[in-house]
Amino acid sequence: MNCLQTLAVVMGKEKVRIPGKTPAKPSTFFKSSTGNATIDSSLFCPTKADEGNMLVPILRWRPISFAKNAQSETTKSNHQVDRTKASGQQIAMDLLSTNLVHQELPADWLINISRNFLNNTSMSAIYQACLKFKSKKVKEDAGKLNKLVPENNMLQNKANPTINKSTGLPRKRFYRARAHSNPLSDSHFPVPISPSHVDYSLHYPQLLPLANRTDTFNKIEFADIGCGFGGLLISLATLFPETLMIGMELRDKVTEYVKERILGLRVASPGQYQNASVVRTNSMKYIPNYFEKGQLLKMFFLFPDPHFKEKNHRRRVISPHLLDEYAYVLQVGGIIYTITDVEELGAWMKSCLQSHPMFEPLSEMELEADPVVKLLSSATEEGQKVARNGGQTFQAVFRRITPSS
Amino acid sequence: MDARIDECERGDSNTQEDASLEESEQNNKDMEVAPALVSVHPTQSSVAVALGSDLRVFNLLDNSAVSLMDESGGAYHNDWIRCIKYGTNGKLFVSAGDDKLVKVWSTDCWRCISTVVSEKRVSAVAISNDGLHVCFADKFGVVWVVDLPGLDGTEASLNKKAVPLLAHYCSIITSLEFSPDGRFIVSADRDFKIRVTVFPKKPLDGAHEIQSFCLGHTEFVSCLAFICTPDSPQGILVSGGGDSTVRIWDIISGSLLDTCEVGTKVGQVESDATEGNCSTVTNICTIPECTLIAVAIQSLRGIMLLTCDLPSRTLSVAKVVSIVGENFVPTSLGSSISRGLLWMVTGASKLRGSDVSSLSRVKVISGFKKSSPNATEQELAVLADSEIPGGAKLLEKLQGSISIDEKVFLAAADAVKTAMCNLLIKKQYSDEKREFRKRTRNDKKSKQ
Repeated sequence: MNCLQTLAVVMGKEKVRIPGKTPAKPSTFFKSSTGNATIDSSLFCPTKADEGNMLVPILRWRPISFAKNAQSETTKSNHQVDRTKASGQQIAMDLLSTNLVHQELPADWLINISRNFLNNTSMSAIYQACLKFKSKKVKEDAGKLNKLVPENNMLQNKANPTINKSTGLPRKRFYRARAHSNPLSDSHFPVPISPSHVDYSLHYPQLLPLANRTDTFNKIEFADIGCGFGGLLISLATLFPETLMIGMELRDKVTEYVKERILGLRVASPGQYQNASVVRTNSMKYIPNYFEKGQLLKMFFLFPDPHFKEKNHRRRVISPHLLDEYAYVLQVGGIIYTITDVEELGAWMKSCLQSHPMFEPLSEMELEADPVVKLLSSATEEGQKVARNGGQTFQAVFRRITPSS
Repeated sequence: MDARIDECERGDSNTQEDASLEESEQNNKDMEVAPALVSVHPTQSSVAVALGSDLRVFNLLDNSAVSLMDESGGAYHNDWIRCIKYGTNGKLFVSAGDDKLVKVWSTDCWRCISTVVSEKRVSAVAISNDGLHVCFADKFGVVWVVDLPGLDGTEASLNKKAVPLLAHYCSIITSLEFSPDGRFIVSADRDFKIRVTVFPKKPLDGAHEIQSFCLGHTEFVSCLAFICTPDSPQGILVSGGGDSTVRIWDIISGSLLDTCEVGTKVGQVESDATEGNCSTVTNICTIPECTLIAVAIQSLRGIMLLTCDLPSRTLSVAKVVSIVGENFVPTSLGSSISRGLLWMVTGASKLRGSDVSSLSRVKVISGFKKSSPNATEQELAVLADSEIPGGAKLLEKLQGSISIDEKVFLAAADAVKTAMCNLLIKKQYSDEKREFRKRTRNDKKSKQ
């Protein structure tokens, strides 16, 4: 049989079994809605002339059993295909998706197929299906497919696929990092020598453009320690547009995400979000390097790492000794907000704060009156997750006071 | 499949890397030594030298070696002593080190009046000016305080429990000092920070009020000292660090008053090229009643004298006193009020795995006159062995023997330099080395 005939058979409506030489091991057949066809070994990688016949060669060139489930199914060769259901497009899609798994086919060839046989929606569907595969190459090839779709082509930010094309905000999936980071390790990021060395023009370019400012008028007043993906900062930035605020995060990728997010928001809403920024640092070691004595008005510790083991308790971000440093950077009257969903940690933080001579709890009335308190459990991604799972939160809000000696 | 091949290949080269990395880590452990330390009684009634685990004291008043009395018998310290200090009122002496013991001695009868057990190895000690509290710091950044009862020494050795006073977050504390008026305690650490904390009336409840942070060093801070000034009772803080600078600070505000780039000055004086960047300031000592600061620098055979101009609060190099004829790089300095002498010692504990026994060498510089603040007028002379107060007897006691073979000093000086670098300079690991070090992590999920 020649190619055209085979194609006809495939596209046609009859059920036909196609005998022929089975290729030797290791090649085996995989399951497909078009059934397995053993093909004439004279067929080879298609040239341009063969474009119309591409479907058939695909069957020959298919891979071999990378996928484990493919392997078990390949032994079932010669299975009857129900061609009544399959349309040409369906066939093509099917073949393409399985081929993409196996990565044997060159991408431009795939692109050719798609251009000829698939419409845009099918291509997008394949693209979505391919994203589920773990292999990078599959995703790359799929990405190339996706680019063919005209609307995707125009809007896609070619330079930075990690940015969502419609909102200009970064996609979280590209910034995933481990939830836990060791605060004791000496990470290699730059640390300012002293608070006067902090470059405000880097963080707040619109508000404080000069690098060496001599005026001490505007200083950072809110600090979100362990800001994660930046939920609280974003909410606070619009609530307090006149106040400079900063987030501190230890993880590299997550800091990048927050940076991109703030930049994206600054572009999307001009004039807003100019007062928020993020810095990658170990706040347990380097807080005095960033803030002068009594500089901060509010400090936030939302859902910190619980460090359950006793031996790791010293890594907790709220501890009796670290509270000395936080009391140093907070103004008298400044407020420290903590919240967690772990009961033991909540009790720990509350007791540390209560036994520290420089903190006193806020009264119920003050808590009601403070607009920020409501944000504690709702503004951050972690908080929203807890709410979704119906968990309980434990908060402790204290004010910095002068110690009575 | 490709990934698997890559792993196999990396595995082979890994074993070679591993071997060399393990070796270097082993070498580092072998290179650990403890430098010799000296401390002088405020009125120079006695001088103490600590060398390895050996504590040697010489009584200058009656020119005799002191035998220390301790309940434990045998060696007073089982492991290297890392810090010794006299209290400013002259009644107490404290020694502590790697054996996790802090021993407080009475200077009258040289009996150990208190032994405090520490959880970790001790890296710095200080005695409060009124002699009621002893503070010590460990390698994890916690400063502990223990209170001492009456100082008559008639009470039996008490085993007291120390209480945490303050903490630097997980950073080796290199030096602890009380301010001259006793209001503040200053602690310096390896994370380039100096913290000034208000020393409370009841230290056992903890010191929570931080007065200021003195930030400005770009490497670890190795030593602290105070200059007493008539107009400011809290004194001026002097610090030396691994960035080869000596800085002076106002501790009330934490502001940097002046910096002196000691490293570059050393380069000017020593024409023979000193290696790389290791001009770490190892020890500083203020000469009481002059505004002179003696600085001991790694690889400088002698000391550098800095003068602090009080009205303008600036620092400048006064002169460099070199020790000729000997390879003497001081590891520790000490001085006493009103005697005009600067005591220096060099030496190291026994190097592990070497035959050379621990040794130390003591030298003295004299000529510091209290009345004239101007250093150039002072005629400073390195005293010959016979001129040292206490003479040969002192040398015999403190050094272990009168004459020392010179060659070993170079080895000792090098060892001390390496030890300090290893301990205090933050290591930058390459990616492979980091992966190697993560091998012993036990919290990784095992791959199926």
